[in-house]
Amino acid sequence: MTTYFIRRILLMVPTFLGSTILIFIILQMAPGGPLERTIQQLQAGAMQQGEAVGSVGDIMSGGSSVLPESAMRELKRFYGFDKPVYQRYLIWLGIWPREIKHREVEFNPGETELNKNIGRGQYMTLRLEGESVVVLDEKGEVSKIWKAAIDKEGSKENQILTTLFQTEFSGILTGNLGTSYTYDQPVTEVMAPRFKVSIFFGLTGMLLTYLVCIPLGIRKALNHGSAFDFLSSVTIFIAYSIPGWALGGVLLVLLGGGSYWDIFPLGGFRSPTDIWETMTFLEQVKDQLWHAILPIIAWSIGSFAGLTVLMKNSLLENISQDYIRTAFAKGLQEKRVVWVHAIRNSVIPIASGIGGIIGVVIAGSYLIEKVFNIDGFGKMGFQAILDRDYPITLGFLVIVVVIRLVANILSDIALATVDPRIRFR
Amino acid sequence: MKRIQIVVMLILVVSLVFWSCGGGDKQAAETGDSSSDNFTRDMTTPAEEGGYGFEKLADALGYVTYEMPPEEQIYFGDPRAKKGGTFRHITSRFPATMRTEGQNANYIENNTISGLCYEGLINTHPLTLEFIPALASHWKISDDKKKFWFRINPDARWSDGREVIAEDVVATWDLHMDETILAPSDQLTYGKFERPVIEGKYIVSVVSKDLSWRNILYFGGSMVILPSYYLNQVDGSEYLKEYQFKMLPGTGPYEIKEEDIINQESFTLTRRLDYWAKNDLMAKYSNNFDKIKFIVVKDNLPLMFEKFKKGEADFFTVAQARVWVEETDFDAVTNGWIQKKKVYSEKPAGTSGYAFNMRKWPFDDKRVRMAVTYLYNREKMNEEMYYREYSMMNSLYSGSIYENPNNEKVTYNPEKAVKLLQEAGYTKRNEDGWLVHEDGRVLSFELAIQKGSDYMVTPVQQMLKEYGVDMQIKYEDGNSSWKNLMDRNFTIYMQSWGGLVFPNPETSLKSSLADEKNTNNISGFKNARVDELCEEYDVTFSQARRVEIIREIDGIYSDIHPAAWGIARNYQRILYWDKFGYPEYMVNRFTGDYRSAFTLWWFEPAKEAALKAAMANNTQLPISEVDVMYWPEYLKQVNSN
Amino acid sequence: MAEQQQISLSILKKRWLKFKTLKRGYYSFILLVILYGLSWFLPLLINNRALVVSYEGELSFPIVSGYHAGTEFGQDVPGEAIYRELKQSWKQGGSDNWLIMPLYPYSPYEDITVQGNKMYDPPSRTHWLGTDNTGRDVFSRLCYAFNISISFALVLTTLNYILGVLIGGSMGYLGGKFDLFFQRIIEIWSSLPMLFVIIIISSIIRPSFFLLIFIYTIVNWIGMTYLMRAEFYREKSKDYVAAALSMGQTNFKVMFKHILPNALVPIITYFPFSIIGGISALVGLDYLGFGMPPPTPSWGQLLEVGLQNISKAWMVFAPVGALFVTLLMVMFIAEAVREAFDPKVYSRLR
Repeated sequence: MTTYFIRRILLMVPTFLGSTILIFIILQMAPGGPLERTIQQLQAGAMQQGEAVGSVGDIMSGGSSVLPESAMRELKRFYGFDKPVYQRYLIWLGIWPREIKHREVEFNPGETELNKNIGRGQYMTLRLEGESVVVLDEKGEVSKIWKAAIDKEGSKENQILTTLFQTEFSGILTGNLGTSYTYDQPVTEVMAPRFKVSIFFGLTGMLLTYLVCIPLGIRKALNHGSAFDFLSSVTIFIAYSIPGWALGGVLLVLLGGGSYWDIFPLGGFRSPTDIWETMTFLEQVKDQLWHAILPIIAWSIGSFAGLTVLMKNSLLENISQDYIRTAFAKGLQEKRVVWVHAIRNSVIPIASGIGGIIGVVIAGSYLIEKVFNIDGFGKMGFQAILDRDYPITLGFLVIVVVIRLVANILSDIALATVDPRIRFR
Repeated sequence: MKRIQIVVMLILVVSLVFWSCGGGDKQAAETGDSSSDNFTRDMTTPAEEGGYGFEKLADALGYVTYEMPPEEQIYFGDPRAKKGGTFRHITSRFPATMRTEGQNANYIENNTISGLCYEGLINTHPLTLEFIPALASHWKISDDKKKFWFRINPDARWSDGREVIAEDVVATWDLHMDETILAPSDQLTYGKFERPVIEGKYIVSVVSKDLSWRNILYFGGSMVILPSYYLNQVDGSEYLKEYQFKMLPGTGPYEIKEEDIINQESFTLTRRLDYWAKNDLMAKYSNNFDKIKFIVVKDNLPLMFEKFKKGEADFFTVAQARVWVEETDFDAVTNGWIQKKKVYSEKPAGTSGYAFNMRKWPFDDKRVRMAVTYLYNREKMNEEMYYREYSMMNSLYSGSIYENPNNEKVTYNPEKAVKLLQEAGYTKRNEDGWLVHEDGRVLSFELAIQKGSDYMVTPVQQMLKEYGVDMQIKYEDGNSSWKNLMDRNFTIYMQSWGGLVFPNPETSLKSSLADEKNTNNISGFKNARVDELCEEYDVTFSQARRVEIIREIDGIYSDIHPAAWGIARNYQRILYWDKFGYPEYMVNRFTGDYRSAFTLWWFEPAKEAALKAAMANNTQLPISEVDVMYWPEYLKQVNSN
Repeated sequence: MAEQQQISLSILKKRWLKFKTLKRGYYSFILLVILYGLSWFLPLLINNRALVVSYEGELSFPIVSGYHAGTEFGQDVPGEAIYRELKQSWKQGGSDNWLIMPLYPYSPYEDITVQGNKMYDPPSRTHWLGTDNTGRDVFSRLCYAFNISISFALVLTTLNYILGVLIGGSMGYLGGKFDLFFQRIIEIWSSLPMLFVIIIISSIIRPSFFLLIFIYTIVNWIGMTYLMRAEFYREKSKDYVAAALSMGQTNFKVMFKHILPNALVPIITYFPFSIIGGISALVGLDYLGFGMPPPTPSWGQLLEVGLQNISKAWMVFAPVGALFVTLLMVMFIAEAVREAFDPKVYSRLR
């Protein structure tokens, strides 16, 4: 058993690599990458779609509107598109040197040595030696930090363009997920607060779902075929057929205080920071809950149906098992039979499903977060896709992949522990 | 995406007038009240180098001096204005950075910050668009119109107390020219100039490489000056990092304190009490709010509206006709607590409609383009869907002086369309009802739209369908759509561009750009006469002649017809809680959008008290006239004189 | 062999008989089948093209023959005949010409372009569920969307089942290296970002019904595979499999003749859930703008328009109601199916 799980964990490595390569390739194929997006931003100005133009922006750029080559090179370098895909992938992993702190140095015809200011009053000397460039520090020794290379694309006939840069190994393996293009912050910094938000809603929502569904499922199973069973079925299916985000939107309008009744706050994870910081701990707890009620309703309303039905069916199945007959035959009381024996076994399928649910919880729900103006994980991931924010997209997908891999193993473990008949080899 | 993205420099005019109140002149020193004089003056710099006393030499040296006529005071801020209060505004995006330059800084939020916290050398007059002082109190243009001199006002101060000097201008230019700030269009704009030269402590000059009347606007107007003291300590990439969420000291009336930047939630501008030009009459009665708070609600228009209705924001711009007509009759409005205004201005309406790709079938044929235009029944859509809120657009410069009055006023005309299509060879219909060309091609093409615009295009699809033109619609995400557009991989495209106060036809109409990818000449427009006119336009310093040129271009464009124009709106629909005072005209003449409120409006405590009382007692407040026609009437008056 | 088939047939028959006794599910099933069957004839029932036109003694069938210019019937319109108006004018004029309109004479596409259609018309006798933001009839759109939704879910589920049974079954049955390898493939495959796939594909071609199904199947087959793998894995260790193998049956036969019928219970009980999943998926895709291209009628699009106009309640209730009724019926069927397929009797035992 233990060897099985060790093997499973080791097998995560090729899976992880495979997944990330797949994602990386898909990302490259998407039309209109970050480079194009930046150009669009710069060149197009306002491209609005509206019934009549609101005319906030405009379209006009100085003169020819063909961006200067050197600037394009700088952009390409920034986004890493000056390198082949496999290198970009390896850089992203962190096992290929990442070039940082670029400087361009141009050698005019005949020149073989140049000084370059590298900031903070320091200078480096670049010497052309055939096809390669040597970087010398102020003592005249070959620099260990700075490197240089000839930029063949940028070089003109007799002018040789070189780039001076430092390298470092930093990628996902060193915990560096890169810097977001749209937030301009390290990916981890962008993710951390959103992750917390999604965990909060996910866990609370999950807890609520279990608290409602298990008792309800039991009751329905015990009263199978009764009016209660029927009515509760109808109710949970009404809930199931209303998309959570739609309900959320309606509730916000009705109860948010803008148009009808002023009961709940209008979206947000909690009160604005300036107010939040002035609150006592108790007030903060209350404020947090007050903000969470509507989103949680929207979040969990759709999940009641599935889990309740699962619980009910599972219990029904167990009640008709031989061991229950035996228990009855032995004269045990109904309560004891149902509550101690049947229900304990009925929770198994629900418990083993937890692994899968965790994944869903983490991924968040784009639509609900959008409706309630909550900065969660789902909205971040979705928006990153639309914005072609590759570092965020990759980080998001990687986290989802890792969680799913772990969750799969957890499910197996749960299954093996719960059901002794299942053996893994 | 409905993101409103902006090319900074272009906004030049927008931002110019926007700051319109930043000007500073010797008046500051003369207003006596010395509360502003808590800084030391540099009396050692000789007048020749721009020091005190320069104003006496200015005329002799050929410098322009501007004095504001007292009757124009109102356009620089209403003397009734009071200082104080907070203006809360909801915005749909938290800016990726608080920088005003460099990567990711060309969004509208950054532009707003730039306009309120920093200043350029000169400015444009809010009424006449002539140059007025900002950081520079005087300026001079050489006879060949290629060299400009600016004399910086020695009173001008950074928020850290340092003086504004010529070196700041050079450092700012250097920053823009640094490729590592990852804003390539900056190098394009500022690359039009040689490196500025320090002529004296307060005097700076610059030479432009080509002759163009716009150059002084680019350099003097759209470039906000940043402090050299800090810029000299960083290079481009360090600037990007260091000032990501930290403000460089500015010269403008507002600043953003670091603790007021709450990532992804809100940011607040605070009025500076030590603003150097605060006693200048051109600035005295504007920028009245103590704080301007931007609350972020991302991509969620209904929630923004709810928040406004609840009172969490003070101001709301209504973009959709339906919302304006059907959903602004709630209690607060009928009680007069929220005022409803339709403010007309001469803000350019921009261009919207369907752009044809003239490079390929079927729109390489003008008859087909015209036929589609005649079949596009925008009047009906305005009537049935937009509550008659809009007017029809028949020019690239709809509603402005640049509009060519002789452009054909296209109206729905199916008979003409059918005739044109027949002439073009689309004579038969197949069994599905689509028109077929004599050579067997079915008149069918594809339109890519983004989520949310389908209601604007499906009626057009039906209109075309009735006459046998098959327009298929598909959803595409914004980036793919843009990519296809720039690769000219489209047949027809629904576009809307914002308008410019000073049009720049070259970038979208020049023949040389027609066959190049990644340019704004989307339709593939080629016309020798327009090329000639564009060249002439750049070197024409007379505004009257420029208007003629643009009108001629507009006429040619309308005739070639690379686009079926849509509907136009020459006003702003706004709602606000009734606690503000504002000048009679409400918004600026040429840049009149919500941002005028930041500078020109003020908080009126008496009104707020009345509002509070009315809300507590559930009583009515007076409801003012919805239509604000100040600018149209002003124009009428000007024209009649 | 034949004997065995007979047995399984009679089991199926028994289950069918049991199913029939479960009224709620049975009637839902009948109703849904009828509705879905009818939905294929929607152009005959809900449309603005006439079924039969008799003009000056000549019969024509626009519903079959397609486009007819208005001029063919003496109507002065440039394009296709407007049959509703034609009918009215002939009636009023006491003409000998006549035509028969479908029961509900509004197409899901005609909007304000057609004279007389208004946007946001509240429900009335002419427009049963009112009109939407461009003046299209909501009831008509709802019905057409029903057909698309159910078809989408059915085809999607069927494809998932085929893939799931083939791949998952092989994995579970063969086990070993094959299983290990495919597990990795599946794990890697499941990290495929579907939105990106849609974005990439739809930037090249216009998404169609089958394209969407194709894209959705790419990511969706995995769930079924896991289920089948587990099922085959479990069944494999049972005695009857060993017996069949010892009798010299090929692996293929063992898998599909012996194990598959035994794995039928989860397959069939899972079916309605999978249908619901398919329907919801399409609603979500349409809502996000990655679904069927406009103006295809869809519940997601109706819901979106409804949510933008909460004050116009019919546009919210129509799609939500349709969704609810459909899902509820499928759920009732699911309950009944499960009960019918389960040999155990769920009575309270004492």
